[in-house]
Parts: sequence; C-alpha cells; structure tokens
Amino acid sequence: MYEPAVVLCAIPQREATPSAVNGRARMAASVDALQSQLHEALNFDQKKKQINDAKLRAVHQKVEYEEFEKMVAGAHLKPIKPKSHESAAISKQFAGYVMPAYSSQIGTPAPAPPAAASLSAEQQFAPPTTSNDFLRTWRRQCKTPETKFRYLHTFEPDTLPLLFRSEMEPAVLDGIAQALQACALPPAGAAGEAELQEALWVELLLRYLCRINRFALTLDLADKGAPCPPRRPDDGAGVCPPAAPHALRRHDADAGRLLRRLATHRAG
Amino acid sequence: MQTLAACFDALQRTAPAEVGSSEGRLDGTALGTLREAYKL
Repeated sequence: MYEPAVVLCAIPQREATPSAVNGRARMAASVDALQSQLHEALNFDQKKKQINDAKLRAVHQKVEYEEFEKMVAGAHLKPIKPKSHESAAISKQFAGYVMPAYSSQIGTPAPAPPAAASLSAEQQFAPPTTSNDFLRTWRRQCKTPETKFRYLHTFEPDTLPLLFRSEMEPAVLDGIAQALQACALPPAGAAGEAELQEALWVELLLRYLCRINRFALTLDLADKGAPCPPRRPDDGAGVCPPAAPHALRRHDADAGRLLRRLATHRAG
Repeated sequence: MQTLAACFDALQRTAPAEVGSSEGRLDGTALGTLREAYKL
C-alpha cells in the first residue's frame, strides 16, 4: 500500500503584502493540485499492480476467460475478513475438552472447593413437573435409597397426585418405601425433634401417595418381599439388599393372579 | 408391602401416645386409618 507522506513546513511570519498573499494562495493551490495528482498517480500504480497480480493469479490457476475477466474486474476488491480483531479475541474457539485455565488464579494457591461443589452432579435435583420428568430422574439418577430420598424432598408431597394423574408404577412405590425406611424413619428408641419432623413429612407423603389414581392396583402389584434392614443409630444410612429370587417369583405370581382377576372382571 | 409395614411401624414408634394431633403432631388414630388404606 502506498501512503502519501505529509510534510509539515514552518513558514516564518512576515508582514503580508497583497502580492505576497496572492503568491501564497497560488502556491497553496499548486500544492493541492500536486497532491491530488500524486494521489491519482499512486492509485493508478496500485490498480495496475493489482490487475497485473490478478492476471498472473488467473494464469497460474488456468481458469476460463469468463473467470479470468471476473478476477481482473475484481482485482481491487479486498477479501472480507471473517471477524474483526476484537471479536477474534473474544470468540476464541474452544480447543478440545479441557477447560481453559483461569489466568488470575495463576501463582496463587487454589481455594478449597465448597462442600456443595464436592457433591456429584446427580445429587443436584430439580423438582419434577410431570410424571415423565419424575420417572426419568428416578430411573437414571436415583440409584440408591439416599438419592431417592433426596429427590423426594425436592417437591411437596401434595403434588404427588398431580404428578401421577393416571397411576404410579409399583416399582416406584417400592423405591419410595425403601427410601423412606432407609433414610427417613429413625431406628427404635432414637426419636428426637428432627426425627419427628421427618416422620411428619413421611406421614404427609404416605397420605398423598394413597390419593393417586389406581393406587389400589399399584399397591396390589407392589413388592411383597422382605423389608430392608432397619437403620442402626451408628451408621449413616441403611442400604437395601437386592430382592431375592423367591421374592421376584412371588411378585410374578401375584401379578399373574391380579391379571387373571382383571380378565374375569372384564369378562363379567 | 413389608417395607411399607416397617415404615408404619417406625412412624407409630415416632408418634408417642401422649402427643396430640391438633398441634400438627403425628396422630396415632390417623396413622391407623392411613395404615388401613395401605391394606396393612
């Protein structure tokens, strides 16, 4: 690129006579004319060089005449940059799956993460809005009675009949019962004020559970197996063992009996 | 069902007989009615 040089001249101040003023005006006009001529000459040279480069580029690419003509006609056009300098610095593309380092923390010891941050992501539950929402979280994230119990605490018990408008699956009822027994209800002889408040919540939950539609059918199909071992005062929370095979067989037999009863009822 | 029965047993243990139901405490009679609703 050709940039015209600007030359500043210090003209000494003298008394201006009419002839000197006229001469100075003529000289300024001639300087302006010279400057414009210089600009035109620079533009001509620049355009000539751009056209020549475009021609050489077109010959090198071995394009047809139409393409050659387009390249020559657009030789003076500049390519559009994909983004500005500022946006390039801001919208820097994320490289890989490693989080970028926080620069202000460099050189200083990293603070200990808070207790809430140490919890895994699956323990941060949002209250469900529909039964599908509840079942999705219940099946995917609530694998233990503790997580089930935490998830049950994310919503009010009186929303249960609204969540499960049609019915509740027997497996969900079994999971709720296991979670309540393992985490909510205190062992024998250890009922304090906190346990009493928890028991009130459990009682409210059980009260609204039985208001769900077709609860009798859910109850009939629920697990009839042995209860979980009760929580001891010294351990954190009880963990339910998996259901025994004979309990599963009994469950299947109950389900078959109920299905036969339903078929008889429909036939009648 | 047995798990639910154990839950009700624990609830009845938590609800002492001398605690009334009018103050929002667990009521033994209401708990018995609720237990019947669960066929236990």
